[in-house]
Amino acid sequence: MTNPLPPPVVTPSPIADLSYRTYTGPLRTRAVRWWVVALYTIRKARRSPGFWVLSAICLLSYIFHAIAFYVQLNVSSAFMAQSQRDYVLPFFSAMNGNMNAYCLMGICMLLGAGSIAGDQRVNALMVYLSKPITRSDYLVGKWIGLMVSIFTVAVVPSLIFYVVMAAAYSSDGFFTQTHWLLPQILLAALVPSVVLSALMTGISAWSRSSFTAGALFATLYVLTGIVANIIALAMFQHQFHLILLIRHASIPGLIDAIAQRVFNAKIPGNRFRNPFSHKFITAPALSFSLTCALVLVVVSIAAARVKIRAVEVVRG
Amino acid sequence: MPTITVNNLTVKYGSRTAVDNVTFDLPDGCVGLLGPNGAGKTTLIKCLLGFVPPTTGTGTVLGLNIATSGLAIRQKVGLMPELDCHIPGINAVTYVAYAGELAGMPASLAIGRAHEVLEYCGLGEARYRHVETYSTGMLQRIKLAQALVHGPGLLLLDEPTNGLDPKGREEMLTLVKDISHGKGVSVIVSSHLMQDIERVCDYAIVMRGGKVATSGDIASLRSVGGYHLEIELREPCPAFTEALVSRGGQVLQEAGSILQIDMQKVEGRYATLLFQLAGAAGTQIRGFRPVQRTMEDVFLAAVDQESAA
Repeated sequence: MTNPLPPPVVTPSPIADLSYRTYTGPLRTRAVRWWVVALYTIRKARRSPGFWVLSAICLLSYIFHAIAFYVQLNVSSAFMAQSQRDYVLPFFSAMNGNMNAYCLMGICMLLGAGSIAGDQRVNALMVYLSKPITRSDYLVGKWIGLMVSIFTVAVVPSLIFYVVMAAAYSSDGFFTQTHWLLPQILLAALVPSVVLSALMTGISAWSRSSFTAGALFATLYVLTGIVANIIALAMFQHQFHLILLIRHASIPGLIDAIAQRVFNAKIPGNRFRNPFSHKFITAPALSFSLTCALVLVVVSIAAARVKIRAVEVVRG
Repeated sequence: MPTITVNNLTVKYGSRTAVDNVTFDLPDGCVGLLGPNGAGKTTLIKCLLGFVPPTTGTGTVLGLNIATSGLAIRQKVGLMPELDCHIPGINAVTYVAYAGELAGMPASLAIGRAHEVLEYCGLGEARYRHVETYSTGMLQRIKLAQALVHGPGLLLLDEPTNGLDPKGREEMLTLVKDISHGKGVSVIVSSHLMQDIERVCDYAIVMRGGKVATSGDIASLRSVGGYHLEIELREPCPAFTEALVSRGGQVLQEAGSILQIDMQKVEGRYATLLFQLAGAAGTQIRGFRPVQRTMEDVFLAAVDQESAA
């Protein structure tokens, strides 16, 4: 005769206990609460298919430049002699090319247009700010989250490109030419991330519709670039320093100016079919451009902060 | 220690006074904040949370100064706003866990806690659905869950039964009653629905035009004094009624075997007299209690008094 099995021990699962229990666990310090908002924005970006599509297009631009560099190097050895090889220029061209710039703008619009506008539309600000976080925590979290997403898209392909180039040309003097290339890449990726994310955050805070915020941002980005170029080429043809200044007096122009200075890149003037085609189009001084970018960022963030409120106070 | 203390608090929006020199102490338990739309209830809640600074006066929430400790107050308080406020594109668990993380909970604990409070609020398996697919009743529950997730000592519920059908309303009130009794959480329910306050609250404040019209525990607010009684007889008995009137009693209302009477003019111990009269008339008294007003009566009386003043 076998002994019967002992009855199973039933331990009540915590989830089966439907009564309310208060939370007595640990709490993180208040100083890092903004990171919760930032992390949520980053997670949201990761879930967006559009983000991955645009990131892939960004990567394509680097592949194109890598192939172009390889072809130039191998097909025409006279075109690029050993001593004339410029390993930095492909990075500048890839990071600052139109394809990359518009992809970053697209990602910024996709992720940032609704970041605050969407919260305002569905009254989610009330939920955020009824928790122990300040308006600044919320704003910084939204901004940094967007910035990190854009920065990742800008910097990761560049780093992959760097590794590929280093592996392929380390014996051909790659490292002797590129002592500062890594910091240059990081800075050139950081600038558009900071500027675009700040601007988008500022516009989003002033809107209750993601569509309106995105459209306004895109218009501002594209239109300022076009207008600046037209004015530069049409009105100041005989004053070269004004061409340089006006051409960069736009959002893409400002980012381009900083990238040019960071990479110390020289663009031949004949690209622009102007009387100065024999000259190089150099950008305004880095300090000047960085100051302008800083002003743009501060104004955008300050403007956003004005609009972020838990409650709408109508003064009688 | 009172949960909330307010002294001569005034809140102005420009030249408009939303809360006008109010003073009160709120005890633990469930407190109703009653008043018509525009009475200043929501402004008072916003002020208590530190969203709107007081123009004059002082106040404390759980011992913390409302003018200087907004963040510390919000750490200990949960708010269920009146308006729908959900973050689209995520399910209820993610939403509530996110609210917990915003309140400082580590992510791993916040997700477990989110499951607990969503179960408690009755969302069950629906907690895995996206928030934008929820019905009004479910949205109210999720708002309650996000307010509860970080274990607040005080819960501020702004119109918690807004837009709910009778069943949903009953379930929400049952939840509110449960959370506010024996769970270590004080609850303030702001509503213009008197029945809701009557159903769940132990104490009430009636506001009108930014002022406190009346306040007190619900039982004493509803009481109309010792002479008004409601008695229930075994069956309707005209002989008893006649005998009562002949001894100075006044029948205010008669509905079958239930009578509302005023015994103010009766001399001596009226309770003993009632039982004697019932025995003499050949009937029995099966119910005997002081008449209580509804909260609606309390509210209307307070408003009338305030208007007259």
